[in-house]
Amino acid sequence: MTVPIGDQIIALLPRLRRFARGLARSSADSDDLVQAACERALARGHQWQPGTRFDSWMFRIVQTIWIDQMRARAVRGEGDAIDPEAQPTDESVRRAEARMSLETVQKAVNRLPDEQRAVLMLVTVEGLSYKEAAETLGVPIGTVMSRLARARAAVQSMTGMGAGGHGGSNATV
Amino acid sequence: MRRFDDETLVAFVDGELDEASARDVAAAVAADAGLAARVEAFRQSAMMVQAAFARVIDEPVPERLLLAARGTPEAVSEAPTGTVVPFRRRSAIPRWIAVPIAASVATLVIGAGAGYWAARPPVLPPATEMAALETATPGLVDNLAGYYDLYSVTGAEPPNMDFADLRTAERDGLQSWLSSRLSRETKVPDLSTFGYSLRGGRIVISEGRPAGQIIYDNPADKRPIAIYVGTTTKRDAQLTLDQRKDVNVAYWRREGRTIAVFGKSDKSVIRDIAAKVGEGGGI
Repeated sequence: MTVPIGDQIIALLPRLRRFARGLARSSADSDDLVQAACERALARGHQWQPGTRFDSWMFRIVQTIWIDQMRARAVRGEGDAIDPEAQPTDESVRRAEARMSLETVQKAVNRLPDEQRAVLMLVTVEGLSYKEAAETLGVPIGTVMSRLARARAAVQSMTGMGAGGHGGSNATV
Repeated sequence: MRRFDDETLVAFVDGELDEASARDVAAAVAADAGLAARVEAFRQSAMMVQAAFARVIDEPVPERLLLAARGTPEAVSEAPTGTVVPFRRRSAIPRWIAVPIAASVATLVIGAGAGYWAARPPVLPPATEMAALETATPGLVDNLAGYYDLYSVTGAEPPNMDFADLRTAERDGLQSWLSSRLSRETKVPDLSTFGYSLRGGRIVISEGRPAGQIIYDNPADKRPIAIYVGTTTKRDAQLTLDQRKDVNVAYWRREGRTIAVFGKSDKSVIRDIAAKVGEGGGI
């Protein structure tokens, strides 16, 4: 029972969008990214090996395209300025910012260095194991661990979620 | 006191340490409140990061991505009437493909020549103002039949290919979830007298707006039933029977809602289910 690749992609779309949202900082950019990934996956469907994880394969495509886009933007001299669209200035959010809010956390994730964001999204949000994340990103498992630790510490530091002055967030700085 | 770096603590929280190391950390955490606080902070922050992105899963997937996954965006250039789906800026799909929702998924799944037989005599008179639904929204049925087909391909037959966003099969929970997503009280019909049990629900797009899709399974029959409930600004319309390939459809509009029942069962079964769903004002 081979499920057509288009159907497998459709079933994954909500997760692909979520992963891309963590990478691309705005919903329009992230959907562009998912769309490009769909097109590439269909063109290269024969490269996916049945029996391996389809979601990891798709995440890898999303991540590869995203890296390419970032490089292209850097070449064009477009700064890595944070998209205002990804930074809600909604008054209600501002008012709520005294307390921890999900918007605050999402913003913190968006401010992380690119390579940390990818690891954080794959492991913490998408639930991949360290090994799977390492394979998806094509990096050693130790790299996954160190990026993940830095990402988590930075998110805590940015959101004030640190361990109450015990210095957890700067242990690896 | 042994010092643990952040990598070790994060891996501990994530369950990625080997057994011996995990025991070491657990013992140290038990003896050191400061360490315990750091571990707890890593645990909390992981949960917050998950929660921050969880809502993306609930968002309706844009049509253009469904099209891209099917690989045939060019197949939808002929646009009948209907609601125009706004495409995002910098989309790789040119603007001229801004199609009614109708033509999109459906064209991919349903054969172009799939006709339908004319509207049957009403079996249910839910409306005061009757209007032919099909002439007003010709593609809606295509679209929803396409969604039904997607479900029967990816949801029912290979049992482990559930959509990631298919929600609980628990009726009360699904009702309140759908009501909140659709911003209107939405009932989940009980089809147990027909032998169908609730499998779950999700949000799809219909006429450019979120719509609920409720799925039922019948262990004896293997052909799922899907009920769609969407909002509409059009006039009420009485129940109409229709067909798309081997999918039978019954649909109507009432009080700002479009309701449709899809299934591969015999059309008499679909009609009976529709009549049951339509009783007392519908969903």
